[in-house]
Amino acid sequence: MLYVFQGTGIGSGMSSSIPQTIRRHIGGLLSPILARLIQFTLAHPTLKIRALDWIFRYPVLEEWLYRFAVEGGLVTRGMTVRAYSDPSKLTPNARIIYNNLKSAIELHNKRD
Amino acid sequence: MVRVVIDLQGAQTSFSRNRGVGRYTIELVKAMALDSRGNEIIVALNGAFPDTIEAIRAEFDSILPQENIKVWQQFFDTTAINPKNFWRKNVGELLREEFLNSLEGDIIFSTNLQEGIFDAACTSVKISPTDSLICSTLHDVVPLIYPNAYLKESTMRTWYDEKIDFIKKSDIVLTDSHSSKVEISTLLRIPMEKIHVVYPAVNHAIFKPRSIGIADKKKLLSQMNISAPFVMYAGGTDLHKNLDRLYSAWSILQKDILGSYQLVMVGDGLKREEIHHRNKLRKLGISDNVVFTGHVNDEELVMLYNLCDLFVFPSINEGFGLPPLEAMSCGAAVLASNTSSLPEVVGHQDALFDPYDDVSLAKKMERALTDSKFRDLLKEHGIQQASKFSWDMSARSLLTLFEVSVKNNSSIQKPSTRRDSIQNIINYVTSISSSLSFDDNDLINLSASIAETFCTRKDCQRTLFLDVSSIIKLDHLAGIQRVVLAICNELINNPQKIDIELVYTTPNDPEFYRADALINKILRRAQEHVSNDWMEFCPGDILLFLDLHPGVAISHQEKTQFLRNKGISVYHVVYDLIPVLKPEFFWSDLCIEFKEWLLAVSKSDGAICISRSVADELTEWLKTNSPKRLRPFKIGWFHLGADVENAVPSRGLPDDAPQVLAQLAARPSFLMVGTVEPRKGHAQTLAAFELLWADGVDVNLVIIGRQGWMVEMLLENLRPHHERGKRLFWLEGISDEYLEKIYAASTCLITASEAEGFGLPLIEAAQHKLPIITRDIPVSREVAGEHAFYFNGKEPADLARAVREWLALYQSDRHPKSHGMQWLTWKQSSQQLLDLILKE
Repeated sequence: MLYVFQGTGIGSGMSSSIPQTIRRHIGGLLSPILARLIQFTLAHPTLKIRALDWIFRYPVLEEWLYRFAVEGGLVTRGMTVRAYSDPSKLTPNARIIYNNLKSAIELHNKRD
Repeated sequence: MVRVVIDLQGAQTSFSRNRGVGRYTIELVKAMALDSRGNEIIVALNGAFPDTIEAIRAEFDSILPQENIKVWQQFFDTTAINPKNFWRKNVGELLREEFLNSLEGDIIFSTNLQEGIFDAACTSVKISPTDSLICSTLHDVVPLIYPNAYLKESTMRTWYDEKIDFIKKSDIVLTDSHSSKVEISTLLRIPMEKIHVVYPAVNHAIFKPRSIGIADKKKLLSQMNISAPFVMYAGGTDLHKNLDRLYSAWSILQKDILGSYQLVMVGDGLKREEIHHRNKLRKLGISDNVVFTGHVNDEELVMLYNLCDLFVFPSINEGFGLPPLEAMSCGAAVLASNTSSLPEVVGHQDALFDPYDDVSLAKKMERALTDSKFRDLLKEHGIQQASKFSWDMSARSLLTLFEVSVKNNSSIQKPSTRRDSIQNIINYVTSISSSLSFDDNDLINLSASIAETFCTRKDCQRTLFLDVSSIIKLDHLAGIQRVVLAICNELINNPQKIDIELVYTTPNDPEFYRADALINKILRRAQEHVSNDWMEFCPGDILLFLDLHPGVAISHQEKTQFLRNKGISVYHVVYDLIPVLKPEFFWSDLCIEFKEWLLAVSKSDGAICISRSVADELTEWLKTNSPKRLRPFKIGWFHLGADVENAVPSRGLPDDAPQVLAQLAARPSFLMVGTVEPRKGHAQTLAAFELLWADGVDVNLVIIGRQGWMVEMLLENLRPHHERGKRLFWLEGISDEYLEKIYAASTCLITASEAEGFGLPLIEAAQHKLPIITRDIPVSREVAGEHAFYFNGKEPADLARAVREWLALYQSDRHPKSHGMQWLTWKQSSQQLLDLILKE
């Protein structure tokens, strides 16, 4: 079972593909500046929307920034969504619903 | 009677729950539930906000039955600002609608449709056909009035327009003021007769004039860095709040006023943007006497309202404007702008100013700060005006509106649209699957959400799940396990008021499974059908941890909280608290785990103890150890049964049984029953009997019980004891049948235990009319009352003396008889337990 934390509406992925060197630099010199920048952006709704709109185009950056914000305590983990990723972990009834959904979609796609 | 289903997401989302919408949602719905006038209130919550559910259940704890709080599950993110969530958002909206429809309300009421842009709330109207009237609150249309500030981004615009369409599709639109009503009607082209005003209010028990002690005042003001009399603003920072004009007006106040007062800006957002505001204030030369407090709690807010000399609210547009009402309710002098809803709220021409005119605002403030008569007038009027707004009145007017609307609606004959919710969702998902992108994980999470939202269990009867995770793994049954088995046996074999299922799990598995093997054993049927089905819990069910398996209870805290959120009650049976009260009798790991288990227990709905003494001990222990709780923790107690014949007895006698029984009959035999462990007092008893034997008292000591822990020294004496097999007998692991015969052959039972949860041997002795010598501890008094001979002291001589005294009484037949002792059968005991649980 995977627990995905959402705070600002930024996406849920937590892995990072940002190169190590850049991360080290950000981790050292730039992190206070980045933290202030994120804080400022989150505090201004219009700017926040624009920033999120832009960030969503770059999933790797989005993931990395989200992780940075969470780890830096900049984002409140206000909402918890429990997510499943394996049908075998579903309850019997959920599995029946899953199978019904899959077959209904397949049938629909065949007809199309 | 009207059945009202209320979507409470407005009190759940991080966007709304700490703002006016959250307060409106909770206070209005609480007032409706408190005085429902015979109407039925059902509250619906989104399971995607699990941290909010316990708090909301607690808010409604004594005013709405917990079963009227329904939760739908949404295990996927629908945050609308993320375009990748489009499929999920659509499906989430339908899931919510189908769930709300399934509750069969005459009215479905959403306290705020404008949810879900930054979190996983879903709101929509009539995506799915419904028989219910839909009522939605639109608090204001500020974003439509200031589109450049709020709706510049296309994602935001699309989301907002969609919500506005949902408002238009609603049968009843609620708003917070007549001013808003006109704006909504004009901007959205909604007929005026469809829009109804239900005023927000304040909780007058909280927001009221208060006398604040000098020490409290000093503490608060110093905490907030306030060092002079002050003028206060509370609220947001949005453009229409018109703070620039407030600053500008403040800067042109007379110098002596500026020098004497501080401007105190209260609010989260203000503090976050302090740098930005300070820059503006610096340019105006007034940065030094403006204070930003940041977030304040209700208590602090009320104190600030009470302490301020003046409250100013310069907003240009408000759907309602709660802060001025709160301030008036606390007796503050209030000035507010003369636009939008504020004249309705403030209700006094002299208290209003033109928000576009700095000079007008400055003059008004100067007058209020220098003219005490005017200030007193504002204060007096404020309290009077605030009393016109109450949640009770708002709830009453809303319920009247619902009653009339439903009456009018029911006169129109319409075919029912009620359908199978699950099939409906499948059909919808199928229909959008070719146009929107989603993946297999989305289907998995949707399936889990549907299964957890709609109870799919056949014939959906309320069920009591008894956890038997420990006994299912054990070959031999000791004290607690015997109790568990006896209760299960009773509940399974007899028809009950509620369906009973035995379930088990392991610490590493969050799910519960039907304990088929144990059920077969109890029902004495062949182990053919052992499917160990995965159990599904539905709202209204009860999970009782009957067995003691600390590892399971500790590891399942998250699962049990999930179940509690969903509406399943979770209880634990507490057999004793000995490892935390007398840790010297156990090894440290056990004590640590036991404490952790008790903490897990204290996070459930309640505990059912096996005696009043244990219940008292638990109550005391929780006073200092319980984590903070929002709902009360229920503690009840019952007594265990003692009819051996109904407790699935084990059979068999050893070869030497006749010889042992004959030896017991030859002289007075004192019996001890229970595991040989330090607290049971075997060492003291053996030493006492050594004294008696040395003094020529001819008596037997019979110890029945397996070797426990931390008794190595005792065993060094006991095993090779010169009286063993003569006047000292230690019988380990004997059958119930043999125990029965030993009871019959014995003269007296000794229970020297220093701590017990119940002390079943006392009752078992009474059943055999066997007299009792017992240590004077609360549970012995509770169980045996006047039917036992009590002793005190931890020295061998103390007990030896008691045995002598008892023997003297026994010889003249003046010893306390045990046969008058009250005891329960397992049938009665199980019934007591069941009644306690179902009474809830």
